[in-house]
Amino acid sequence: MTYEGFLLLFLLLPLGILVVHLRKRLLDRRYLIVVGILTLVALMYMAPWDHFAATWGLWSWTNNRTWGLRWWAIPPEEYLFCVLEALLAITLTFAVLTRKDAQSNLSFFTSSDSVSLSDTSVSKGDERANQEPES
Amino acid sequence: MTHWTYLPFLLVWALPVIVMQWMVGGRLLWHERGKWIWIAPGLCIYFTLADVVAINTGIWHFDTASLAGLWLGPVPIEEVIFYLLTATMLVQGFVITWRGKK
Repeated sequence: MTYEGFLLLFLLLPLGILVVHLRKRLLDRRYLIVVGILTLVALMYMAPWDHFAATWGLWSWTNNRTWGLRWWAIPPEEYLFCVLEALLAITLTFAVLTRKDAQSNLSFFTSSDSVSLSDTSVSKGDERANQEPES
Repeated sequence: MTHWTYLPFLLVWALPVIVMQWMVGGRLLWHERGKWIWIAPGLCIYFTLADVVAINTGIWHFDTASLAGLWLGPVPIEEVIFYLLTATMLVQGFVITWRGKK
């Protein structure tokens, strides 16, 4: 397996599943700003540390498992790992912290009828589509 | 610059951030602990399992002379701690920012 394949399988895939599951909940301006800033801070804090470790030989990467490029002493995939790890951890935390809010919004919306949903990520628009028309 | 071994290099890098997060947002983190406390250990287990694949397929490797010598299968204990600490920094950082003043 290459580093690229590792990123696709272990980071991008679960992140994609999480994004699809959360859908419209992620279209929150405050979330997008916070995730952008924290990811940038994580990247800037990780890069020099990783660079020194690689320079000292604490760890290294097999050339034919990476794209072969080095920014400082680090392959670009390592920066992507940092970014994707940050996105995954933050988005998962966002999902957990806002779960109750989403549930209460949903229960408020469905309180006038007996519709019950277990998927807390369903948006109001999707919920409307699931309801049967009143006669 | 002095050549550090992995564990002290990791701890000196990560622990000040975690301590600072608790100094700044400790009350908030404690209040919300029931929601977020399991996320970092969960991610740590997941990334450690992924690390087994990365090491076994030769994507990255370690200088064994710089390690403490404790292993979980092919994964050095420092790597497990790395995933736990990085996930903790990220999760706590988000909790403090998200639950802080809007």
